[in-house]
Amino acid sequence: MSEETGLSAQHDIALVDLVDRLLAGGVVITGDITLSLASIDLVYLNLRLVLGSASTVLGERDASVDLPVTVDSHILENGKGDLRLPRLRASGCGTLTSPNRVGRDQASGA
Amino acid sequence: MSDPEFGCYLYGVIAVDNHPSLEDLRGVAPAHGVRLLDHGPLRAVVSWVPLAEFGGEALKSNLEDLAWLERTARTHAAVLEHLQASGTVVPVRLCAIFDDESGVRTLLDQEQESFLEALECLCGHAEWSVKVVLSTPEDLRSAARQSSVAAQESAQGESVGRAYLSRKVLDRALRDEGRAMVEAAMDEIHARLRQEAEAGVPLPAQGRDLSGRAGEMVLNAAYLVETSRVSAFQTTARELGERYQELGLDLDVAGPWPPYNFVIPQRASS
Repeated sequence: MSEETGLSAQHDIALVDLVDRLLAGGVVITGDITLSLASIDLVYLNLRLVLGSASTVLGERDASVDLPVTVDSHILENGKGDLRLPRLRASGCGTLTSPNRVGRDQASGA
Repeated sequence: MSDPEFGCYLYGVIAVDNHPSLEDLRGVAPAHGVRLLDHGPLRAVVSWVPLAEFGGEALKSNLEDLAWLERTARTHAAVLEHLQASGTVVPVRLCAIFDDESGVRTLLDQEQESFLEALECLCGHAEWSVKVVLSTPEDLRSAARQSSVAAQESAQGESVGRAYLSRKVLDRALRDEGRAMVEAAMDEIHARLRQEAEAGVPLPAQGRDLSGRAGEMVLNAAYLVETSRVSAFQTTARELGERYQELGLDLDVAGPWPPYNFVIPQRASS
């Protein structure tokens, strides 16, 4: 595990990890010159095809932890509509604090 | 400055009372440093980029060039990590380029509420990535053999004539058993880590070729963790990693990352 060192100390972050975050994550902004969202997603898809095919040992499964197993579905999700607003994913701002408290109680009680 | 030969590249947005030192920071175009652009309560982190390299068609073909993409992605990430070290940053996706500074100001103006909300929510948090790889399938198979009823029965002996059929049945039973064990382990790992975090999202698993790792990735997830809870998160991750090692699973934690996966819009379904 690499938790003892900060990311900047790790010189070997795989390109795919960076690309996964920088092309699939981050606020999407429609700059004046920026490639359209669709083009970015195409680049992302092409890259994954160039670097290797995405697959998982769990195959078609996407059940309990809701693993999105294909690149395409991920892109479709992110490629929908105008996505300029930075919004917290998975948890809205209002729900950010209360589940935290619940989680802590459960963790300490367990 | 509005120059038809240059564009304004945006890395991320911070609060105006955040004062990072940018002196030694290199921009995505090496000749141009990283600068701050203030607008109201927000501060954009930008640098100039030559449009011969970052404009329209040139950008499109450069993004297809792995060496160019890698250089740009690493620089973009280094700027954001530097910013994160001195405060909260809302990271922007790679290659958001504006004609000039006024385009950036317009964005900060129009999306001011959203950026302020994101900065508030993300304050004191960082993203941590957790990947689980099935590195030794033999271990999973022997664990499955121990817990599988079919395997127990077949170990008690059988007629030679049925051996071939039994082997196929046993193989399938072991595969199903192994799959079920991995699924249960992933559910447990995700649920436990989610408890230690503010939020957690599963990401697409990276294929074997893509990840450069030996073995198949069975979990690729990102968690938004409060700074004060990082060591508890890491301890939990380490315990889970040790517990599931006997199934042939390797758990890897990396971070802190800027919160890339917690500023993209909520999924329609959630």
